[in-house]
Amino acid sequence: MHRVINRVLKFGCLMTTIGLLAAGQAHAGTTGTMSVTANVTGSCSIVAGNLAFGTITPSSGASPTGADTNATVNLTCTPGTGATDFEVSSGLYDQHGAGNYHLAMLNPTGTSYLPYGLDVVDTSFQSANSLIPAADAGATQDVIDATPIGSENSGGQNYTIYGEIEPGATLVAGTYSDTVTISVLY
Amino acid sequence: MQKSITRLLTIGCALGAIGLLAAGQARAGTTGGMSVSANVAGSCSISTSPMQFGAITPSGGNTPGGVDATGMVTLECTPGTNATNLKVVEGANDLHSDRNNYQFALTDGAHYISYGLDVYGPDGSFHIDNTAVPADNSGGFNNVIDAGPLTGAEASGGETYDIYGQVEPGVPVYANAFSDTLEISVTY
Repeated sequence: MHRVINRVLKFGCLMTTIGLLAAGQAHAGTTGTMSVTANVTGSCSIVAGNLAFGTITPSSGASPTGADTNATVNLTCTPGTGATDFEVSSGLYDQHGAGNYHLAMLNPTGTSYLPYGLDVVDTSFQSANSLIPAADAGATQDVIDATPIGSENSGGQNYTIYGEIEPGATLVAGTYSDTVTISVLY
Repeated sequence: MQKSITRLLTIGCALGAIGLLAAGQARAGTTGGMSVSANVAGSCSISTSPMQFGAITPSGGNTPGGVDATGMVTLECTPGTNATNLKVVEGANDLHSDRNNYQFALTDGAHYISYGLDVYGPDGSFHIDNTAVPADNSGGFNNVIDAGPLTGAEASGGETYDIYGQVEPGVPVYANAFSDTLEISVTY
């Protein structure tokens, strides 16, 4: 009987040892989390070509009809920017145009203005008689594209801007120039 | 002679009985041991500060170089815990990363920006060779911050590790708010 008890005790000790070994090998652990954040700021770039009318030959001392040219404007925005109101904001001498031609170029001596109009075409060409969109009559903001979604594609989106000299304006020989501001909101 | 023997046996029995009675009154005694034990279960706590890249301004429509941020991990363990293997287990969007040394990714729910981690120890040394993500990604998602023994974690206040994150440069981005969640673990 005594011998039997001894065996039970030894067995108990063995179990305890196994238990300790098991505890030592256990992969207990703790986990935590770290938040990682970033905000990508969208932006747009505008690259405009020159709108060069070249040489204008007066017709009976006045600007001829159909003196026009065009330039390409590229708008590229970071995807997700959600840009709106891509527009021709103003020229330098807008108040010196005539009628619906509220843009004007100025000669170097600052004595003579040459009125011109713009037409902005993206997918459909507008009437040559409405260089300034009818909806913007009298205003100085000519919307090129209210929602320039294509600008978020690779390479952005190109727009063609047509310019036309106001026909019948009295001309003084010289070199004329203007700078048009093109803007986009985002 | 036979009778004497009988008496002796009787006396022996009586003495035996007295002996038993004396034992019941416990003047003389025996000592024994009582086992008293307790196991103090060691444990560790992990606290973090967020890794905030802040505003990322695209360069040419892509992520610029050098966009980095630091998050901190503080590990505090019960003395004697013998913790090991403090590591970044995984991020929430790893499957969407570019996997070219950038196995983590931020997301806005639809778009992803890959980023990598650098982990420095308290002494400023790299614990992961210059990139928290093994160059060949052979380590899978086991990005060890400190293999241990993490004795510093058992000191008062624990031990703090800086984890540097860097956004993968030159990849197209989408303007939005991005986030990820890193899981960090310690074994003990």
